[in-house]
Amino acid sequence: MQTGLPDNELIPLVLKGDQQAYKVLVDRYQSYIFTLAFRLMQSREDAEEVAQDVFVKAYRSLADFKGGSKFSTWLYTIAHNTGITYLRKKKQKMVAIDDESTFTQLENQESDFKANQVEDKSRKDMVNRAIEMLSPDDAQIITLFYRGDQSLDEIAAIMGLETNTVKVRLFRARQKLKEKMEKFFSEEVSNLQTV
Amino acid sequence: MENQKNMEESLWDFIDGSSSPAEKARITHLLETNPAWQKAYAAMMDMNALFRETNLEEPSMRFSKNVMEEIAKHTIAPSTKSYVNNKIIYSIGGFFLILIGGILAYLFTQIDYSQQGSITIPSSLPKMNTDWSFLGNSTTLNIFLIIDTVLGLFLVDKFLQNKKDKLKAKSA
Repeated sequence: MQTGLPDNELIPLVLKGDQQAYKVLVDRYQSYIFTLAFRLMQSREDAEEVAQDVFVKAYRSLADFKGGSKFSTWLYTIAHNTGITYLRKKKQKMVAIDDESTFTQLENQESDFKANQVEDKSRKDMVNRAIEMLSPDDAQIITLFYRGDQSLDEIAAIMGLETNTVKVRLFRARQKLKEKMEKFFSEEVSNLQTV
Repeated sequence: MENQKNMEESLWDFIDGSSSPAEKARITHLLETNPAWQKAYAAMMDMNALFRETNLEEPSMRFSKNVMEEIAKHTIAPSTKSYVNNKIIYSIGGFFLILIGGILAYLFTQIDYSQQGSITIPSSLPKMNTDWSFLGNSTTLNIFLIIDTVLGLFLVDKFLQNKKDKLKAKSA
């Protein structure tokens, strides 16, 4: 019944105590939040824990959402901050944008994949696997821009960066993604026109 | 190489819709006339479509059930605005502004403008001859301390009252 309602109509219902309305929001955004968390954590277990934490935090502070931004932008901001905090707590090092050693490590992991599975993979899977080979920051920007439907300004707000920085990072992330695809999925990419 | 990078950068801006109107017109013209730009644009549009097609990762089947079970243990916290009373914030802000203003006004009245400092550069600066003793003795400091204490007690009372209300609401 409520599944068709837009976010801004569901939120007042949740604030009035309708938890089923919140379930609609959870169902609507769980894949996005989980994907963002997974890009950052690179572990399904951690990503699930973070994603659950994000929805609980969002529920508890829902009264503070005043509609100044899209609900998704607000939720992704909580997801980004929760993920970063979780990583810090686990004392995992965030992979820097130009951390080539990590890329090499990831690329080595990918070589097995390339040898065994690439033939069975669709174009979509190819891009997904290539995104997993990016640094968490780059993967998050690509995901927010292309799947999260967030503008450069909104991504800047989510990640606490300047819009121009996001623009530059998005450009570099696309370049890297293209390089990965050309390197590991050359057959599929050859079907596309090369730049 | 640099030209290629600039072309790609310009084309991505164009595709994302973040080019300036002048740049947009320039690129539109190039796309109508230049085969290299046309080829690059077509390839980037393909890439763009491909990036949009990516699959989202799916959490476990029980995910939303787990979330709903978890939030059943929680209540929505009241909006920050509802428990941060603006009047209290303004009162505290006002108090400190008055305090700073008072001290500054006092200091200015204590400056002896007739004396010149022993340092020659800048020679025209007045030498400050301030009596700080008012901070150590007297009623002025005591009054400030009393006001601070009253405000502190007021905030503690407000905090405890909120907590009491929450407990009442929960038990009801």
